[in-house]
Amino acid sequence: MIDLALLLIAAALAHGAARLLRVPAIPLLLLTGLGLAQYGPKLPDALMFNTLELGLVFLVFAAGIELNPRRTGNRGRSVLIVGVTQFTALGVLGYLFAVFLGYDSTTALYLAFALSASSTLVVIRCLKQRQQMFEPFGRLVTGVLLIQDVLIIVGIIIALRLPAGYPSILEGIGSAILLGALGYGGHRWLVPLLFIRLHLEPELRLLAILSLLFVFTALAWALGLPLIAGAFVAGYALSAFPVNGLARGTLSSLTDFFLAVFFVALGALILPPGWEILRDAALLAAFVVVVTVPLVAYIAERTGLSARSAIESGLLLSQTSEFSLVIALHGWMAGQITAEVFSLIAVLTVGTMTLTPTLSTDENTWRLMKLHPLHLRKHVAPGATMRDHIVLLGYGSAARSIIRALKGTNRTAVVVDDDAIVVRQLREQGIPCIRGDGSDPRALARVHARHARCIVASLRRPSDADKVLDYIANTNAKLMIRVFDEAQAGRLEQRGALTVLTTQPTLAVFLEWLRENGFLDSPEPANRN
Amino acid sequence: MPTIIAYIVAGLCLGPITGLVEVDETLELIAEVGIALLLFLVGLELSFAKIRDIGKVAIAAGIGQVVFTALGGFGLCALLGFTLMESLFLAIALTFSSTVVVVKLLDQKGDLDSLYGKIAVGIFLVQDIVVIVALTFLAGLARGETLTIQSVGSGVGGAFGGMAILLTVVLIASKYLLPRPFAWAARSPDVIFIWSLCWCFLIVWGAEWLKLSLEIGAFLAGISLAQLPYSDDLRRRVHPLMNFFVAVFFVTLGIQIELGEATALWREGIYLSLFVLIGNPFIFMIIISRMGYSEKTSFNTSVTVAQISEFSFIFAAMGVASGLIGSPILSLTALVGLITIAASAYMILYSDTLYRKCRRLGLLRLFRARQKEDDPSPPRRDHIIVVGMNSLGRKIAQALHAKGCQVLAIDTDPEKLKGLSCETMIGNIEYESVQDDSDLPNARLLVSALQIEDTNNLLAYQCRECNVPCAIHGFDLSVIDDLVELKTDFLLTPGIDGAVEQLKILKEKGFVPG
Repeated sequence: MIDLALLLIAAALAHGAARLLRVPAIPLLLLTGLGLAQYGPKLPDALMFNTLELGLVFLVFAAGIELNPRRTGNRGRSVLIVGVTQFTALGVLGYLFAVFLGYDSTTALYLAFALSASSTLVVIRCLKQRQQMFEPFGRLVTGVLLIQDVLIIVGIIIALRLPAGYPSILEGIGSAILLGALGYGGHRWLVPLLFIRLHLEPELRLLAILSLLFVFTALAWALGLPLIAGAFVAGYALSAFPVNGLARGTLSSLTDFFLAVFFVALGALILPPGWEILRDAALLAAFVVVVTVPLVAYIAERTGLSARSAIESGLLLSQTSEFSLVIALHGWMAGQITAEVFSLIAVLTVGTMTLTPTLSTDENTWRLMKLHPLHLRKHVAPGATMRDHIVLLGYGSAARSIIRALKGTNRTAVVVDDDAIVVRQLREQGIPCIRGDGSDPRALARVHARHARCIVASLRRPSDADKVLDYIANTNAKLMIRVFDEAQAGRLEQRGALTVLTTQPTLAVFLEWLRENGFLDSPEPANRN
Repeated sequence: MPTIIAYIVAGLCLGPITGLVEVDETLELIAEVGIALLLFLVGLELSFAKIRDIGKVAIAAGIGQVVFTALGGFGLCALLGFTLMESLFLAIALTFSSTVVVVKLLDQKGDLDSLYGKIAVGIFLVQDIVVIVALTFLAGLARGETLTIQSVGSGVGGAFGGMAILLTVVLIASKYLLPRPFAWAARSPDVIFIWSLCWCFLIVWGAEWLKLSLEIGAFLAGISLAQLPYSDDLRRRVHPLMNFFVAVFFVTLGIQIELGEATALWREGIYLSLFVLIGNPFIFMIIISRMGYSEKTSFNTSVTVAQISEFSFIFAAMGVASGLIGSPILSLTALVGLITIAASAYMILYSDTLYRKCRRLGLLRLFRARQKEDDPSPPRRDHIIVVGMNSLGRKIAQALHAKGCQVLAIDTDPEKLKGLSCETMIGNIEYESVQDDSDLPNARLLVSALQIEDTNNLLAYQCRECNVPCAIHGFDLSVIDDLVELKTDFLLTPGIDGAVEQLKILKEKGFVPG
């Protein structure tokens, strides 16, 4: 029990430090594991091995559960293009870079795989904290991560069978397809029967979920595949709504526990990095950032995302993954890479994961926007200077109703929107508009925002309003913005904006509905509509 | 069928019957973790105030039962023809009830927090202290030492001394050490979860170092955190983890059962089982009803002691290993264990039905217990659950509360629940245990102000399944289709409502012709 207590102490310290420093927990878990191995008592091999195995299985299982294509919204095509291109390009370039650094081909292959996947855990956490999961770029990034998870599992199968030659690789892929087919069958028929029709109690549901997990891992073992392939397919079997929600609620604490001790145990395997490992890790980290950001930004923009969203996607995806550690662990245990290379990949992952929250900020996005080709071109304002007009930042329901109200009057409204399709449609209707980001001073200059009577902002992020306020400071132009949060409304009002607190009218409408349907008047509720 | 029985049968199939699995260090560790988490959970349910309430009855009933069962069991074994040493071992084996089995069953029934549940837990913890003393005594016997008053006294003193030290540490930590760090950690659910587990196993480690049982350590760790406002949320998070590990415990229990020579002693097994199944509850009914508790509480508590403990197997195994008793006694203990655990599992799960039947037959009259029931805490009904205390959620909760509605506000962040005058709950609504504790099926309405697509979709689905109306936050156009498909009764759309309001203001201020 003392050994488990030590792992948990290390995990507790890491989580506490992560919260204090506002960085992801995984890198700190690895570091505390390293510290435990260096300065603490030797932990039993059996405990470490079992912790790693169970932790690995749960990590991959949890990733499989999130494999729900609905998350991507209507961006399926973009997701596929960006995900596959990023993975392949980074893999190929990463392989060449690793060879350039002096690594042999097998090691370079493992490094390539490690470089090509981004961290689902870190990125999803960032998106959730910033409440950006539902934004177009958030959906794209989520989808890309799911694609990468699938590709890296396939990558592990290929890498492990490489020494045995192509027939073995083909056999492995064949087995993986068979396992995937069984997983699809589970996803389509067995799981809905078990979890939706049968209405299992929580304990039985947990047992059913775990049984599914262990049956698939056993199947993977029987087919000569790594256990994580079975765990991933088991997760996929549970990924459809509403089962994935039920499973997530049931498994959440198990996953948290096993992941925490897994990463500590993994950290305990890392060799203290020498100068060469640190140097190569820094070079590879720089490679990841320098290649991923422009690559993803370029492809994402080509698939229809705005320049800003595309750059944000690139910044958010510029780290290596927990799956990089998984593939490195498998390679090391199979004797295909050395302990030093495993440590290199671990240090690389620690570094890039830790950097992600610092890199993927609005400020960095705007710095990179200035390097965007569109920004480097000189812009010409459309026609004569406009005055006393209304500027609409973002074309949504609010802008539509304003334009309708202005029809037939002598007031002009000009729209700024970053969606090319929206801009084209507006131009076809004869509505003045430009394509651009509403918080970009260049776009604001093009629409003569400083001379506007009023600027109505329908920006996704209220923090963008500060940029607009900075631009129109000391002018007569007024910014009006709808805000969800009271504290934010107060802050913007102090800066001179006119705010509409959206919760107030919603509350009024909701209370009216409650009154009409008897929820407020009688103890017995009205019938469902 | 109670899941415990299924687990034990699975263990029997894997172990004695097919020989497929042997219990190794890993399985033992997992099983121990399960026990620790189970008792940790029990501790989280209680508070020092609740323990004070049931302390007296727990000590009285616990000690009374130990004495009666030990003496009665010894006498019965002697009558059945066993030797002095065999009778002694069997009597001790019959004395202790299984904390793990009973707590698991009470948890499954949802009665851990009931009065009889708390009394039962208190009794088992008293028994745990006696177990430590008995183990010390038997360890000395097994070593062939001459037992003197000093050696027995030293063992007892050590056990009580250790308890006192651990209790002091836990009390001080609970009052001075834990509140501030845990308040800081509480805003991050995974941090507080890992910290609480770390604390649990630290105290368990301390208990082992003081030669106390891990159950006591885990229980005290749980109690120390039960005083914090986040204990309910912690309990819900620990629960699925406990279910996983404790399942392994029961399976390993089944694997380790050695029934080999029990067939020859099946008659004795039945007599001893009946003694435990009927005798133990009988004496408990007498003690607890005499202490003023209602007939129903006394009955429900009494049926919880109608089985022997996993310690019984350890005692018997120690006796066989030291040559004091033969292996048939170990097999007999296993047989009694299997029968009593299986039967008592049904008795506990269906105790209400059993109570009604016994009452109808007039069997309980002789105890002359108080008829009025002790536990009058009804579940919530016709309340409105508001999930997500962002700006919108808080406004809705406060407005509904001001209109006289019974409101339950839920959020994972305790800071966001501060200052609300309605009832609050810290928890993640995705957890079924949070939905149960919030009495969702009885709610009049569920409102989600969350801006989390997956959770909102799940809530809409769950509400449809429970036939509870729901109002969900459609925070973005991209989420509305799914919510409509899930037949959400009302969509909260601040974006759209805000746009309407905005146009009105624009017209009022003359920016747009009105």
